[in-house]
Amino acid sequence: MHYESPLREPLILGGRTYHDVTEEVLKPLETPPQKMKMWLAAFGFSALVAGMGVSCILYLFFEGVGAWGLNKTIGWAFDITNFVFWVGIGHAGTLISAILLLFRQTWRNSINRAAEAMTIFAVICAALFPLIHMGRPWVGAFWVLPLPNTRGSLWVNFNSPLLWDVFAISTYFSVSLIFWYLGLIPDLATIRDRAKNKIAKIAYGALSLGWNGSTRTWHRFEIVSLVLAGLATPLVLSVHTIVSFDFATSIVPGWHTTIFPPYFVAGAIFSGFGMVQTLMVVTRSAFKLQNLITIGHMEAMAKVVILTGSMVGLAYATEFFIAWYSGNLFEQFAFINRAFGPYWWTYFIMVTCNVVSPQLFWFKKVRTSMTITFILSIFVNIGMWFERFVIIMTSLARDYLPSAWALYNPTMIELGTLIGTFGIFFTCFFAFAKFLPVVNMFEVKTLIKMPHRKGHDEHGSDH
Amino acid sequence: MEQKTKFWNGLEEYNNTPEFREGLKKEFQEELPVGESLIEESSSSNTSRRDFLKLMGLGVSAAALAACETPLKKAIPYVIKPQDVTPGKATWYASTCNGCSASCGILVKTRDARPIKIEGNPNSTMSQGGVCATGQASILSLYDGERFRKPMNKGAEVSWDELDTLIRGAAKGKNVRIVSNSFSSWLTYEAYDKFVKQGSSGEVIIYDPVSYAAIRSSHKKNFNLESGMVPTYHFDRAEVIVSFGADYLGTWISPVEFTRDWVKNRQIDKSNLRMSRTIHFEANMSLTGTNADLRIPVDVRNEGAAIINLYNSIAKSKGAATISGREWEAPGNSIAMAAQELIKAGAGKSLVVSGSNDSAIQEIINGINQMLGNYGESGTLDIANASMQVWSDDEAFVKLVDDMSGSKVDLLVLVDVNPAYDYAQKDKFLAGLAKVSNTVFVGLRKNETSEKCNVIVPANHYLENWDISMVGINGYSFSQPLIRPLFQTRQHQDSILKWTEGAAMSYMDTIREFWNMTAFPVSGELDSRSYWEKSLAKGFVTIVVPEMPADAADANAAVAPVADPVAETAAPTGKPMEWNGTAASAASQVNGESSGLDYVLFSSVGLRDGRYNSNPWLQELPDPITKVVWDNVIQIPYQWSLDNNMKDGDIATLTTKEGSIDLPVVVIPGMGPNTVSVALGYGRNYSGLETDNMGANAFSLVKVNGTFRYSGSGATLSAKGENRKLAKTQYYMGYDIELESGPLGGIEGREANEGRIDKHILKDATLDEYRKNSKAGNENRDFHLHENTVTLWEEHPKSGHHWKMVIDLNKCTGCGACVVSCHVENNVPMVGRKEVATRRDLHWMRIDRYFKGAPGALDGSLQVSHQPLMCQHCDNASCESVCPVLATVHSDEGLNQQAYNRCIGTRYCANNCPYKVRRFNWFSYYSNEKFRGTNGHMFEEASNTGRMVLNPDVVVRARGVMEKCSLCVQRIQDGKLKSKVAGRTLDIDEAGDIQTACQQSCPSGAIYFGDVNQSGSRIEQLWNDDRNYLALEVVKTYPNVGYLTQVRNNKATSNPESEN
Repeated sequence: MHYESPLREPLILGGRTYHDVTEEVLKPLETPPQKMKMWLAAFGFSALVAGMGVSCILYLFFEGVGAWGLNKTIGWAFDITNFVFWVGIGHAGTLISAILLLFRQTWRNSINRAAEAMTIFAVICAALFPLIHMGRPWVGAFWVLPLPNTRGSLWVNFNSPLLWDVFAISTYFSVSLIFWYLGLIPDLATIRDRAKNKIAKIAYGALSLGWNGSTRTWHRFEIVSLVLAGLATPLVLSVHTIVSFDFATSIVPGWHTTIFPPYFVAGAIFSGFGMVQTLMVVTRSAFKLQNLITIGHMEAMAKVVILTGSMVGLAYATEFFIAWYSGNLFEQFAFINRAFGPYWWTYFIMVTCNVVSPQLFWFKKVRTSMTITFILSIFVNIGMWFERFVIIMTSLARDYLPSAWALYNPTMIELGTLIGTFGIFFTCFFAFAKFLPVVNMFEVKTLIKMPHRKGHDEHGSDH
Repeated sequence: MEQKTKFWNGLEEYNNTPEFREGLKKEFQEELPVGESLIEESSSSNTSRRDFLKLMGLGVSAAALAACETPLKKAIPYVIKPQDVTPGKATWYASTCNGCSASCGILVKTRDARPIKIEGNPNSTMSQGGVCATGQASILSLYDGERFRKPMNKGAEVSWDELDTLIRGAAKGKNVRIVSNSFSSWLTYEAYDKFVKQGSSGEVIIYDPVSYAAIRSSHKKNFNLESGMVPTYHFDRAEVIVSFGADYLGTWISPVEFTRDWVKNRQIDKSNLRMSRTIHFEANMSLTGTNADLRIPVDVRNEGAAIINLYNSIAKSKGAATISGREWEAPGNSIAMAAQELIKAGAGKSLVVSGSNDSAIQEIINGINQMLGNYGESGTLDIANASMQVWSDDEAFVKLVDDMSGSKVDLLVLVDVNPAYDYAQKDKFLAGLAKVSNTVFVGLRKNETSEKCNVIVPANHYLENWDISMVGINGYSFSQPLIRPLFQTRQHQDSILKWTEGAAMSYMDTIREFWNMTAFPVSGELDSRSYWEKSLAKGFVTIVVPEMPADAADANAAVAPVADPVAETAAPTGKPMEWNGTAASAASQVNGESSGLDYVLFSSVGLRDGRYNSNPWLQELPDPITKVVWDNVIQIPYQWSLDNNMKDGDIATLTTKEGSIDLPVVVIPGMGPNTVSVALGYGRNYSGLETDNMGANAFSLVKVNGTFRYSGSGATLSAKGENRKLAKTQYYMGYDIELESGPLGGIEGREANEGRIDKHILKDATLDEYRKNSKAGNENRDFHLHENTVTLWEEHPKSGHHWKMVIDLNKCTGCGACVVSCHVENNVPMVGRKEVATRRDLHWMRIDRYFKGAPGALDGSLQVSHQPLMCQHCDNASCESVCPVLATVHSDEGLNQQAYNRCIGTRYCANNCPYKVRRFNWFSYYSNEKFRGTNGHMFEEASNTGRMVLNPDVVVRARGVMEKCSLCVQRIQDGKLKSKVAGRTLDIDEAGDIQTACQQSCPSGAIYFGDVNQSGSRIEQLWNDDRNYLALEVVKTYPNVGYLTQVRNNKATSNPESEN
């Protein structure tokens, strides 16, 4: 039998040339802000929201953690939920940048910069929460660092998962930042070369570190990229594993389970891809980059969502099964309480959003429709936020001693802080979209087959 | 207490010369030879540049250092130190508590000449070293910033002399009345009596808003006495106790004394298998009811009938005459069974009591005790030694109000009473008050009554007073001032004496004279002054004094000696007390109506009759049954709540014939099926706290019918349609009412939690089971702790001390004295209603209350247990491993330590604590204005006298820091130091060198603390006892706090019987 494998759809549509790519991607940078009304409105609005969030945080610093709705039984709710939520979102970016690079999945080339930017901003939002949730952040910010001192030295507690968080998040942030920045350099050089504005020329010039585009430079660049990708790859798995240890190493029923590391990592990638989808659907149509970020790209991401979403769903089922199988009274009650207790509605949202919505992506019609993709990706993130909330809050609310059982109600400050971090995230992202190229131009250009020009030998890719 | 004089070193300092001020800035008075060492002999240009740089460097750093001065704090030591005041060392004095009229002996800890802690005085044969929650908290009212500071007349300040002249003038030849609460000092009564006898008509009226007048009047009638009396109860002699609603462990007459006595028969271990049997019939769920071996809910309407039934059952068995009247039998024939048990116990070995203030009921109770042979000096009811703790006369007060309304009173002196708030007919009282020409209020702070009086006479707090109280059998309890009066106040007895013409001595001299004249001659001591000082130091002396000699009264010779108001009337008439039983006629008065709902008004464990409404420690002490704070509620029966669709927090109107009040309801299983109850003492106007008007004044529902009646029938309860969130410290009860009818549907909370509480948290057994197997109820301990263990960790060796605590659940009554004691000792902030409602209280120690059995059961199968919980100091602590900065570590003596200055407040430790005993400082409770009302005594202001109560040994925690029980590490260190200085081994058994605050204050002695490494110690025995278990053993935290299983003298619930 003759079998012909289907030709893969082209990654870049519309017969683009190098110049086209440069022009398309750099259009938002080279348009004065006054002419980009929608961008201005979006940026302004998110900056306002961010400002609101900052003022909520300042109020918290002056008044005390009592400004939130936490209590003696439920010591973490919105704060750590938001932390895990934002860190989880970041993982998709690193996976796309690093892991897919190592796997030579070239479809990542057009989305990896925006995804990595999303990671950086998400980690910034995430890192806020461990700092502000402390009772005494003015000393806590330093005392968690293992710095030699004159008091003994008085070291930190290396047994504590919160401390591992400090290492993990700081490593994650620094590696991601360097990786992203280095990847920007060739494109920054392009912008510098094209810049007409004197300030832009100096700024981008400084940032591009004197990139000259020589073969030797490119060669070194490729090696560095691979090395950094190698460093960043384990982070995708380890960082959220460490975050999951915050719960898994405790004794709280509903937290103390070994499934958390893979479950959390899968969930992180799941929510991260959801957020990437949300951002890409908007970016590609706003900046008219449909030919670079094609439906094919969106479909590929949807397939990752199906995979990770199914893993998450499987993890839910496993948890239930093991709780029953263990015969442990406290563990069993923790799950009955989640499903039927006073917060059953949060559990309901979590299951419908996380188990049902990704399965819809099996249908091609759903995968290829940008509207439905956008809506479903938002559901994915809502579901993942509620998953962390359910895990953290309901397990704490009713644990070992029934006399301590309590309920939780968020205050306006907590809601304001959560919404504020979205404001911070989107302010950063919109700034990124305006002042930096959202698509990795040089990597996309490697995918373009330029017509062979007579007289030139094949030199390989050119920029 | 400030040092008023400032010491100076020299004339320069005194004159504050400029040179002196300059000199202050210098570290050394002489110049340092700095320059010489820096400048070398040879002055070559090379070296001079280097030297220049050196000098510049030194100069710059010196200037910089000089600018970074630490602020100068002045500590001025004594030049001549008073002998017994050492800064940093506590001095202890004995006194008598006047928190309520029971007059328990106390030891007061003073630091730098101010009292900071009240503990029990073991020398008191009455209170035997116990103090209740109210007594512990009463120290705060000493430092109350809102106390009267100066005498006032009609709103204007006057001097003491003017005031005294005014009142002396108003008393002479007029109609004088003085009203006071019960007090135990006969000498005070003498002073009052002499004062009122100056007038043309004078009376001393004792008024207690929560009155026991029925007991007095029934004994008067039954024993043909000249005046009523309350006998001394001996609960320790009783092997069977039957109570009809008398909360003798909680608030009835003298709860500390009764708890101490009751607990003597509740000890149980392998060598002592006998326990008393307590049976409780009541309509309300009271503290004593929760501790009874068998508790049967009985509606108020059936109470009389139940008592008649008991009387007749006993009468039939004894061949005495029965009385006619309706009889009511409890489920399982409990009353008939109780009758048999009472008889079987033997004469003088049983006790029947009732909490009712209806004389008819009390007469029948007296008849029952008489038939059982309980009266007598060796029996459980001692009428030869009457109690002076409660002797109010309701009828006399009613008559007083009538006299006032009839303008028959010219001078009315009210000594710290508040009838404008707590009298049932307060409007009538206020109307009468307006008709009295001279109204004088003697008291500590503003209240509803003082506002309507002309003259305000500021009185001392009891800790500033001299007194001798007569309590116990031939006992004299001393009070001495612990601090000079903080404000311009005077001891109230001194005020009365000043207004009595011919009274030349101060009150202090009066009591000293009394002691020298009566006790000293028979004491066997050689020197009266040293005997006086010895007695003061001991605080409590038992001595039989003869009648006071006639010339002893010469000191106030113008007035004749007075008769003891609580007559040991056998003495004057010479006749022994004889029973003159009239139970038959009483029977006809007790069968009340049975329409609508029954209601019970009870005195709450913390606030009592409302006098402590302004005390945040007591407001935030959770009610032992409802766990509500800062509020009172209507307790409603379980089945009734289901039938009428009411749930916790619904606001309802309770209407009786006397009035109506609006309050939120709380569903309490085990109430009489048609009875609701409300706590007294709330709904006041002058607390000065956020509590003003929180709750409602239930005194308006009290009925005046001869005596004050606190229960009745014919009430209605109707929902108002609103709901108020209650501030409770515990919501879940042991079965979850919400879960039963909520979305769980068929899966009841109970099933999902099968065995959670009785297998892991609160283990109990019946006496029968314990006798067969000393490990009854505790069978799973060995499996969880020793067999089912695989661990990576090696146990930390504890070669020095290893502190452990054991709590005997058989003895814990749930009274909450430990909770208040912990707050006082450890400077724990009070957070107020809103914060408690958000579940953010800061109680280091809490008492969990669990129900067991079906909530609607009326046959006694519903039981309630209390479990005090504090940090368990786990050897395998789950909190220690998760703190990122090692703010919580384990000491090598077994304590889990919390380093406040290292804590950054991530709260992971609290999340990881399975017992949820860690508390977080969500706000800055000593500076955030939100808490001025509830925690004002900790605010950092110079004018705040409340701060004087803070314990200097314990840090006040900052915002953002975690805190928890430290097993009173400051006391442990203090004890160790004491024994080290004395050069001997540490004495760690009870009343030894170290007692934690909770242990010391427990009136029943349920808490044991000690070093398990000291072989033969009490704690070692208890730790290895078969009854000892650890909470949540299955979690393998290996706590250092153990609990002894609760053993009740009960058979299985279906057929309660005992073999005594």
